[in-house]
Amino acid sequence: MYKVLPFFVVILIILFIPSSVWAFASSSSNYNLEGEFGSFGGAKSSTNYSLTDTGGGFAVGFGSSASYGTGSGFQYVIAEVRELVFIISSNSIDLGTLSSASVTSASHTIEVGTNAAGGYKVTVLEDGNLRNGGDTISDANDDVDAGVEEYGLATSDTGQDITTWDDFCNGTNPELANAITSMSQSVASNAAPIDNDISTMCYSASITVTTDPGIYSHVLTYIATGTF
Amino acid sequence: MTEVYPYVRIKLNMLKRLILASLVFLLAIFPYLHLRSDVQAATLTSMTDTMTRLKISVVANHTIVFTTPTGVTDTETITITFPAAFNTASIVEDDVDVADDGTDLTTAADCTGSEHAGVAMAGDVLTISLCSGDGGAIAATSVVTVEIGTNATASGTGVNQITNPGSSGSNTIAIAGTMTDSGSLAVPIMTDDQVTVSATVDPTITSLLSSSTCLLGILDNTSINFCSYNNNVTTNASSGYSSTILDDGNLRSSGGDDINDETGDSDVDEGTEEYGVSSDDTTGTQAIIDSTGCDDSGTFEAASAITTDAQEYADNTGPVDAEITTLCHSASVLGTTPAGSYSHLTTHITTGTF
Repeated sequence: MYKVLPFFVVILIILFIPSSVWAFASSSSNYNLEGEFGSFGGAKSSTNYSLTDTGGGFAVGFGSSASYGTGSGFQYVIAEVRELVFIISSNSIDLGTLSSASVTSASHTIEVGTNAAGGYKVTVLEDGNLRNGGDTISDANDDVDAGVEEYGLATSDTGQDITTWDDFCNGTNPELANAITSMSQSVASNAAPIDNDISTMCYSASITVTTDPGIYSHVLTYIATGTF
Repeated sequence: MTEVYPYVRIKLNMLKRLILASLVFLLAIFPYLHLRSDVQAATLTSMTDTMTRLKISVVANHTIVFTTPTGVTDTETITITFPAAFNTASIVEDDVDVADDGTDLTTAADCTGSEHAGVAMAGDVLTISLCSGDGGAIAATSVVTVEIGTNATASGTGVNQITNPGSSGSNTIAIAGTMTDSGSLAVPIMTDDQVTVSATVDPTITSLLSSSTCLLGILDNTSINFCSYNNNVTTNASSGYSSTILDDGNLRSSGGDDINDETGDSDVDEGTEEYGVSSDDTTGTQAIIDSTGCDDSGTFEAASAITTDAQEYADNTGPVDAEITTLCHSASVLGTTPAGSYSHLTTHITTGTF
């Protein structure tokens, strides 16, 4: 008995060692230092500011490739800072003077960056047809042909509700295009976190010799949504 | 000598047994001591907020969707916290709908009634309180949809919307409450979320005469002579076009003789000194008479005198693509009409009404 008793005591000590190791945490009235694994970082705030920072780590920041995204540093370890950034390169597209002898095209880009685990989607809808009072330019079906009154949109991204372009937005006859409608249609997406994901929106139109003269316009609304 | 050791030995043995029993007991319950007594909180998944506008300072609807791995009991709350930069002050219960796996919950401002959930917005925090015993509990792995704004039409009709922040940037919306799960998502507020597309269509009209000469040939008193040409008009004028003809004087010779204009009976009669023109635009009424064939198939041909005043011979009330009108000049003479070479110049004017 005397010989086995110490053995049991040792076993009990080992078994009751806590199963988790707590990282050093330090705080003050105005900050909590929440991460310290050979690097420094955390969420800090005061009356007039709040910030997160990270340092001492390797390749800090956000990185991505075609099918994955990574986050290195405090912000991504704790994943507190949800982010979705959406940029439209131009809020005005002028197709100029349309011709029955050709297809006219013009474009802008959209750019998305997000750490949303499920990526993002961008949609577009219109407030009505390209119009001048009661006169409208007819919607395109699958493309815009020279000499046919048609107007539509193509995207450089694939797998969207709006058709994918033919790598160019230069008034090719015909130019691939789908009708823009008052219902949301996707124009760009990604299934994972991504940074600086740029897509080109290509608008095309042509007319007939009898298309009513005037200045036509309409307003499109773009919406970006992240899946976190 | 009294031996005390047996007594002490007995006590030691009891102590040993007690220690051994304690060790065995502890070993037996050890696995249960290392089980956490608290339930691990899970992160909400597939969180989205689809807004109707992202532009700064404008109102927008929100459709917030998330999956709750643990579910929400009917005594728990779901809170959705908007950054202070959003203006949520106008939102009331009717402006909010809550759905569980696509089935709308009944809502009220609080849980005093029998509705599934109480909904209240205060201090930019939307609190959805599942009402105890009213059947609104949300099962684990359910998809919850919260509509805020005029898109909330299931339990009351939403008329108010949240106003976006006044500056652009990524904004974090937190989802929590007393429910076990929590999470957050981001929405991108922008200076402008719209693109204005414009294009110009110029007014156009073209008129093309198929020939600049019309040769009637050698006139005689036993026949009517003819010549013809076309005017081809294309225009996008919304109210169409009008084409007119006028001359620089009668059909005349260099000696001062002329061929009389048709004598007012709207035709050229064979064997009568008359000259005139007709048009094959039979739609509507023009000043120049409609043609009757432009061939020598009878003893007269419909014709109108050409004058120095413009007279309409073709028109349309809307845009046309290559509309062709044929003009027919006809003439006959008397046996006494002076010999000579007769000619005159006609001018055609086509006007669009845009």
